[in-house]
Amino acid sequence: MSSMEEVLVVKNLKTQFFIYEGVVKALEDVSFTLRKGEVLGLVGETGCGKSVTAYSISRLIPDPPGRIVGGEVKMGNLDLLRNINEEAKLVQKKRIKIKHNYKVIRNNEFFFNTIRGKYISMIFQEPMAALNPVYTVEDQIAETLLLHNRTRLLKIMKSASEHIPELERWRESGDIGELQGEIGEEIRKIKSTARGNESVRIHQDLLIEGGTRFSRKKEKYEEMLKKSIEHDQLEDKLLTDPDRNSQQQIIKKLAKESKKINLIKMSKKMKRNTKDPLLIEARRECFGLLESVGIPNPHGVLKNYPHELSGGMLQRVTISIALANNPKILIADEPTTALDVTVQAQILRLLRELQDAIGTSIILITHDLGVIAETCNRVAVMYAGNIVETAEVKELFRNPKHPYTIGLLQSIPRVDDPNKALKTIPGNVPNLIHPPEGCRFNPRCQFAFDRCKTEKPMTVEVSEGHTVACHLFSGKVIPE
Amino acid sequence: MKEVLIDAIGLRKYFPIKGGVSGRTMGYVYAVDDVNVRIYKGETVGLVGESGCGKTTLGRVLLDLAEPTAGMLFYKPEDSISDKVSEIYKNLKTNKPSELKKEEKKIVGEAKRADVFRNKSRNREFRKKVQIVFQDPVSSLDPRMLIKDVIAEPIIINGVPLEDGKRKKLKGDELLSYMKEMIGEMGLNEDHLFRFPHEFSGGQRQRIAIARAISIRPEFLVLDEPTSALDVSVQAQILSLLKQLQQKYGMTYLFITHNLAVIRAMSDRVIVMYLGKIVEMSKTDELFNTPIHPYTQALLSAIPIPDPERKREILVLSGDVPSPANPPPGCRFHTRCIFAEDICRKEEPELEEIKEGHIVACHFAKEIITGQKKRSNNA
Amino acid sequence: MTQNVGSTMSRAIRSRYQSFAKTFYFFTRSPIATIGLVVVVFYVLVAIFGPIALGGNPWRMTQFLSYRGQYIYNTPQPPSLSFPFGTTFEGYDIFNGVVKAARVDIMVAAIVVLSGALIGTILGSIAGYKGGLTGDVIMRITDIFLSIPSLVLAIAFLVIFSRTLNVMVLALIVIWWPTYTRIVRGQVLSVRELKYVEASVAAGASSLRTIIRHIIPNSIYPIFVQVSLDFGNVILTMAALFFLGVGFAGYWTPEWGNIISIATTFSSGIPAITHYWWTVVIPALAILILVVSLNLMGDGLRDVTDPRLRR
Repeated sequence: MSSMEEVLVVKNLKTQFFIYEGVVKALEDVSFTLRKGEVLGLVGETGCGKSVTAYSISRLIPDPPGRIVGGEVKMGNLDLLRNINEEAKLVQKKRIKIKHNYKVIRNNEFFFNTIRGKYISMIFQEPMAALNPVYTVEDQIAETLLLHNRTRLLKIMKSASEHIPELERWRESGDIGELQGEIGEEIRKIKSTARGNESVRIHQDLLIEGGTRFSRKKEKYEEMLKKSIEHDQLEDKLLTDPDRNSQQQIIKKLAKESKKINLIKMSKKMKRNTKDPLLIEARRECFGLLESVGIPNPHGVLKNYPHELSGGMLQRVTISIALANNPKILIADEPTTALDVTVQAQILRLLRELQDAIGTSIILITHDLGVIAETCNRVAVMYAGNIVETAEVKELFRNPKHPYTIGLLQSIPRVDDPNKALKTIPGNVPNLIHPPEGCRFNPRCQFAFDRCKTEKPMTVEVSEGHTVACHLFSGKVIPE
Repeated sequence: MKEVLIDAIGLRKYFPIKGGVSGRTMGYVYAVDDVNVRIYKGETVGLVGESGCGKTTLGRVLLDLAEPTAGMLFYKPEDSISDKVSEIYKNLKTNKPSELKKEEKKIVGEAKRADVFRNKSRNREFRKKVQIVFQDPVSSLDPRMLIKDVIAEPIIINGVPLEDGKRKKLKGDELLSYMKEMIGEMGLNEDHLFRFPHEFSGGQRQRIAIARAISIRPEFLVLDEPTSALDVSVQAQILSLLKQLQQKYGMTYLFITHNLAVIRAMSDRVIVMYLGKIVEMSKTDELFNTPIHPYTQALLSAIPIPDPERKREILVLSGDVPSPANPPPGCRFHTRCIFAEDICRKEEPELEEIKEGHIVACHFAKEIITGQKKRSNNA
Repeated sequence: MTQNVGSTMSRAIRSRYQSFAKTFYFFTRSPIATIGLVVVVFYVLVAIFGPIALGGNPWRMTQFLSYRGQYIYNTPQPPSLSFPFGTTFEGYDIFNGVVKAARVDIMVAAIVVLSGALIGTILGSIAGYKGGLTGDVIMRITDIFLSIPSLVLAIAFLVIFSRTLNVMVLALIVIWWPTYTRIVRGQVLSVRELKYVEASVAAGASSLRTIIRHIIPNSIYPIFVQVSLDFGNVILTMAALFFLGVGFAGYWTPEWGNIISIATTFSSGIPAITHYWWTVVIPALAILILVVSLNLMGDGLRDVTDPRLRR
């Protein structure tokens, strides 16, 4: 397993919140890796820092009061935290050189806007809060497509414009052979996901219409496509370029290039201008995405506003937004906590299916070990800002090592095993303003000894792929 | 024969939907619709269902915190009264509040005198014997009160029962030392009495809320999702605390939750609700081993089990819970049911005792038990 | 045991003090709000001690000086050593007047705002908690009062009854209570739904107890903010009434609006602002500075009482 490609490497991530009562040391030292195509579960109690980890990776920590103090988050060759120090200084000296600072912060903003949504996307606990109530579902899915995926949309349109006769024959007779290029791939996709003739029909109509429009103003759109491809190449280079300085150059270039894209304008355009092939294709993609997340009547739902849909439906919509650009990494922050169990089962099944189809790596944050057991490949258990144990899911449930993990597993009431006595972990989650010295779990740990109170345990590998941060396993003391 | 503590008959709670300029009633949300609950002394009854099924509303109506649209509630009733009344309510087949009120007027005085909703002195007596613990530990404690004032409030109003059955209102030092003892029992220390709620963690707040609820030694305690907002390790602490307290004070619990695992750990008997109706009711082990109603089966199979090596078939229900303002005709579950047939769309199933102590509202309960029922096409 | 009670008291007080200290810390974090607070405190000190320290009255000063042979009667004198803010028509000493007006204005504003808030809190919490017919009746009456332009209402009140300071206070209260009723009702409606209110009902508390112990303490904070913002508005309205001459109850009422009113009434066609700027600008500044500071303070208060804005 270790030979698998690592898409995300988090090293010594440290995030703190500066509030009235003091400094909350929310993340002390978080390190883990996410491999390609796996579901990594991040489990822990409230306040253990699992959400802070997610927000730190996608740089959504509000500053003030929070700040990433140190660490590394590497995606390919790119360190996502490359400029935290620079930014922290700026926030402190905010009042001095506004103009200069504005430029730097804007560059950073652009940098993250390229990453977020395209390479890393997130699903949140409250789908209602994650969607904007004044835009329709279609507007919101199309927004992310138009921001990050213009190349793909235009390529499909170009390819469609070259195959209009075939497409029309398809509409007439319902029969189409193998086509070359993007359009062929799309048709295969439609054939596999579309439900019923009616839905295929919608795809056909939009493809033909878009293709025709494209060929009418061919030069304009080809120019657009060329620019968009250049932009994409720059972004790819950013991820692969090993040199920090040249990365900085690319970021500057990207920032300069992407003039403010006015989303409100774009959405209004979306409603009025039905002739732009880019928008037509975006609409078709939205339709396809909603189909793929299993929404009945996607055509109607596209025109709905968020408040008109139920929680389960909304969560499907946010999933479709998150997966619109086939991101490398999907961070799902308690995606089913606000839902009922029967709906939770639907959503979890959907996530697994989509992951099989797309191959995205998922970080699934939850407090429910049941969800972990049924969904994840690997688990990282967090306690008070540290990862205390990481293992394959079966290994962790069969053979937990860290006293906290053991306690956690024993304190879950089980439906399938009523006679199991509920054991509790005594005490409460520590206050992270004054966390305990040494191992942060020592005041609640039944195995704690002197060393635990003074020295922070190192993370050691107890068996292949199973790491624990506990003095019991540092080699000197062996538990009974 | 066990002593009946609470007997609720024909409970209905409809929330009017107001609309238009004049605030006219446009329709009703049928939150609780014709529910009969009988709770025996000393037992723990689990009430389970998804959000919007009316379980919280039922809990509130049972404590007279919400005025019922119709129905009667007896506290330690005589059998003759409750039998007579349940016969009357069985024959009510309307769901218009005005007609319900008219029908209820015909019920004789004897029953009304025993009814908690209608008899004031009964109500006052009842109030001193029941308490509630809420789900949200953040909003259930007044943020501008010290903990000592929070816990003292019910004692100041209701007093504490003495050994001879009378109640005594405590004051000053006596009250303080009583509260200190109380809070010690909850696993907190007396210094905590002089702090504000926001200084506590969720688990500690829930302990305080429990302390407030049991400070007047109630006989009946409604626990409305007391551990849903808590972490598993804290949840386990609170659950074992609740068990200890029940043993010590002989309280009766109504445990409302959506978490079936907690129900299994805590309760003696389970009631499953769906869209304002009771669909299944049975002893806990019986229900978990042989669930009969298709909804209960789906609910049970949907719970993620923390054991990755356990292979099982998950019965994933399609669709969402329909709106309680516009419940489907016939059996309310038929829109999502895998066994649904024509009769389910037309006729509402009655609650029937299928096995001893196992009550189900499903047209095909018997066939499901014997395994004869096949999935219908519309699933 | 007595010692135990003593320590109980002090522990409870300490807890309350700590939460106040935290609020105050957040308040002082905003320099603008702090400046507002300092200025307001300065005004209040002037209002309390100024009249005692100065003595006399604006008119007596003039008489005293005329006795010494200085002819200052009727023509405004620019600021000088003996009259730091100058004099206005009829030999009125502006410095003396402005200082004394501070007491009158602040007292009137305080009475108006506090009684308005009291009435509003009582009616608003009843309307919000009880709802139903009682609530509807209270709110419709409130709406009627709110729908009449406030200045017109006050003028009508003063004209119908008598043009004295007491009637003016009454008129201003009549204008102000409906706003508070509305704010409190809105708050109560949201607080009423919180679980601790239900817990109190479940504990058998009467409506009155629930309102007094839970509803009012938790819905009153926006009122504090509104009070601090309205304080300035009351002063402005009062000044406007005096300026319009409706509040004219003799020159002996030292009031900032009144001082401006003297300048415009007696200037007999000469624009006071161009010829004798100090007769208008100085009392106007006195109003302006206080009202602005009150608003700054109110903003700061709103920020600290709204937990979402706390950082």
